[in-house]
Amino acid sequence: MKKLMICLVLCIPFLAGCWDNLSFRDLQVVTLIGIEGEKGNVTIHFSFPSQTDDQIEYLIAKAQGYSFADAKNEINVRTSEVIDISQLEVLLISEETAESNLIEYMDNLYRTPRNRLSSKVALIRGDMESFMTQTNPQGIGKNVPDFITHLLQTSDDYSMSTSHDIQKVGTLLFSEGKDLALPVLQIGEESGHPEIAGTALFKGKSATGTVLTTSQSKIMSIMEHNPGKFLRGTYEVEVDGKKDLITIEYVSGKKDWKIEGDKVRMSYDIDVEIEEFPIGPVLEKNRIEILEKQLSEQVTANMQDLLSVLQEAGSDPLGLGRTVRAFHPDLWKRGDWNETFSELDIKADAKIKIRRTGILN
Amino acid sequence: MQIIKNEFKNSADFVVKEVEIAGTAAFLCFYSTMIDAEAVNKQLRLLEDRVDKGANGWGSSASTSAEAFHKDKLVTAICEGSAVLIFPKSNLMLEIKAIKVPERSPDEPVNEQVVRGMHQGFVENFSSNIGLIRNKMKRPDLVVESFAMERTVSKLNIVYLADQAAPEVVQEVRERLSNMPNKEFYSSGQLEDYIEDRILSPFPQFLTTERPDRVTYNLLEGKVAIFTDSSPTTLLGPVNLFSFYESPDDYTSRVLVGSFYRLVRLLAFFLAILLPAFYISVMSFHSEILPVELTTQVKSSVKDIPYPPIFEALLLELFIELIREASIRLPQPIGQTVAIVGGIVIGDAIVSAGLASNQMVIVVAMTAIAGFVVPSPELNMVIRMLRFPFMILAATFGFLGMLIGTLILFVHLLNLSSLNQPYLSPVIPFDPTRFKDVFFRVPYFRPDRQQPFFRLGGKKAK
Repeated sequence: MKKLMICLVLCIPFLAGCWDNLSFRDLQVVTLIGIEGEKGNVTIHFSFPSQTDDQIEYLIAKAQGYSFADAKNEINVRTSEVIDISQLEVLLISEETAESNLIEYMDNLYRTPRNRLSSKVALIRGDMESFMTQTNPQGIGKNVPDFITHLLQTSDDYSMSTSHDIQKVGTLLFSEGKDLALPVLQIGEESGHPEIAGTALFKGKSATGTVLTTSQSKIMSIMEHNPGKFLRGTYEVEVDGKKDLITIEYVSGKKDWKIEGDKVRMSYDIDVEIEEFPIGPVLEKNRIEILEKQLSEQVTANMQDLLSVLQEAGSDPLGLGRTVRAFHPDLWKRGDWNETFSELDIKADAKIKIRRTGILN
Repeated sequence: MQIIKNEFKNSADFVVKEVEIAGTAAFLCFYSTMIDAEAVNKQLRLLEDRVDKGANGWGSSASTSAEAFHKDKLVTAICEGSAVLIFPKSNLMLEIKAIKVPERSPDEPVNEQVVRGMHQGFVENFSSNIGLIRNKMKRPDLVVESFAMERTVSKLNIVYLADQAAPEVVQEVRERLSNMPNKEFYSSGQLEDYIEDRILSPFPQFLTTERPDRVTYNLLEGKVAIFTDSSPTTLLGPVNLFSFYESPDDYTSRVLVGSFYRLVRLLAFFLAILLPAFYISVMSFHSEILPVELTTQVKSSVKDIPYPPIFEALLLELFIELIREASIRLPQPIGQTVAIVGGIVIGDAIVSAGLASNQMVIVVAMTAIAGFVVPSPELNMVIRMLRFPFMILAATFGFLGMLIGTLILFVHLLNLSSLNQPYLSPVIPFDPTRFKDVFFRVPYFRPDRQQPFFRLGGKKAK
């Protein structure tokens, strides 16, 4: 009995374990992937750091295949080490590719347990290759994936666009009551490096082709009641017969959605702080009331514009569908939510309150 | 006379002299190397006085005792260092206790130093040691029980507080000591083997210490101390794993500071066992959990290492163990040189030579330091030994292996007992009154804070 036990214990090291060994030394960590093409002819660009004489260079490799996984396996014919996407920082997808079913390209990422679900996802406009290599060395340095990650994070902090990681994208792709909206990058004409171009709207699992501007994205984050750390907007106001610009910062807000039959009334109470107001003191001669009235009108108009864009695209990134699904089953059961959403009569109304004026009065 | 000399094999330092005490012929025998001649002379003079006065019980005093002559008793008394006066006519013998053996002063033990508090340590003489304890604890329920050994003269003594220690624990110690098969021993380590619950367990089941204060507060907690006559090392039992993590420093420092460092030490326990295994697992199985920012750095340093992480780790760990062992054995000035040479070799040269990666050096260094944090030297060694099986498990199965290893370790700890008391108490079995004492140094302001550590009912002491 004892001998048997000893034999068994000695056999343990020869069991499965060691063969699953995936030594970090033999892996090539990929931090940036770009997908373009269409089903049947997918091209994937990989960008990975490589050490040459104490310097880190980002190398690019490109592979074609019938599907995402096929192209991913194809790449190993031209790299010296095993390509490992478990450290992926950013996943870029070209706008055209996103217009087909997005899940076809992302299924592999969810299926493999090693993969990182906190990588950022963004759509790109233009040539994929220009995003992978950085032609303008003064601009952003060599570490493109790091730059894009921080760019997306910053734009999210300033509510310029949304920022979703792979996990959130999966949730929203399969969510019926809320649609996905992803940031779109483009190569800036002046800067020559990636910049935020706007926010792409999705309908179901594919992109609609409609792209919101950054200021529309800000309004969207207010309406969604999910602003970033900072949300600032500049408006033109008229005080005492003079026209000037005012910049306000969102402090807090309340949303109230009333849904009756086909009519949706969205009202927002928004508290703001004045960032810039060159005319001078605010706490004088009913200026607050005048400003609040003008600002409320302008923001309401912005919201109304955004709603018409959303309805036209048939995309609901606000999550109205979730409320409808929970509290108004009749409306929800009418049919496909994206179509119902387009046909609804939605009116928005914003009430701005100036709560703070900065340290000037 | 010659008979007595023969009994001691004519040893050169054995002296038998014919003397006359108050007109009676007598033999005085002693080992000249063990007695205090001055004191013996003084006793002899006092004896004459008392005999002259015709005092009753002339043979009895604080350092003398008279009894009928018996050869075995004579041998024992002389071996213990007494001078014996034999009166052949009346067939009596008188034992004069005047032992003089070189004894060092009760200095602080080198291996258990504290920052604040008592700077005293035990010496090789039991009477001096118990004196140190009685001096700290002036209470009548401090009991000493002696157990004579058959083949050596030295005795075993158990010391406990009758009001504090659980009777069943004391009884258990008594039984184990009297059941020792071979009543001959040289070291307290040997004694430990005889009376331990499980000899093959890597974990020590007695706390060893050379500090009177440590013994004192453990006695107050209801433990039993086992002293050997010839060694400053005391065994304390029953213990639990957490006893090894208490340092006298905890109780002399402030409450928050003491608690913080106790928590740090407990954290170091896991760090010292699991850190190299964790690193090996990450490097060979689970690289996806590395933060992205670290990957390029790590990659560049492990890229050119010619062998798997497990060999790298074993190499460095063995090197550290060698340095440690060498610096203990060598005299202090040379020991430091070894440490410096080792530090340079490990820290720098081994990396530039491409034998190990920077990260591995950091991991091994942190592990070594975490291992040295344990206040008790014997647990310290256990912990340093335990990380090798964990490293091998990590290299074969990754995190799964570490999980299996940890499970086995905990099952073993749960099964282990010290003097029949559970080793993981008070965490398992859970005892809420003592539980917080494990992780925090509880303030002393409540007068009833003494808790009988091993009475499982958790009764509070008076």
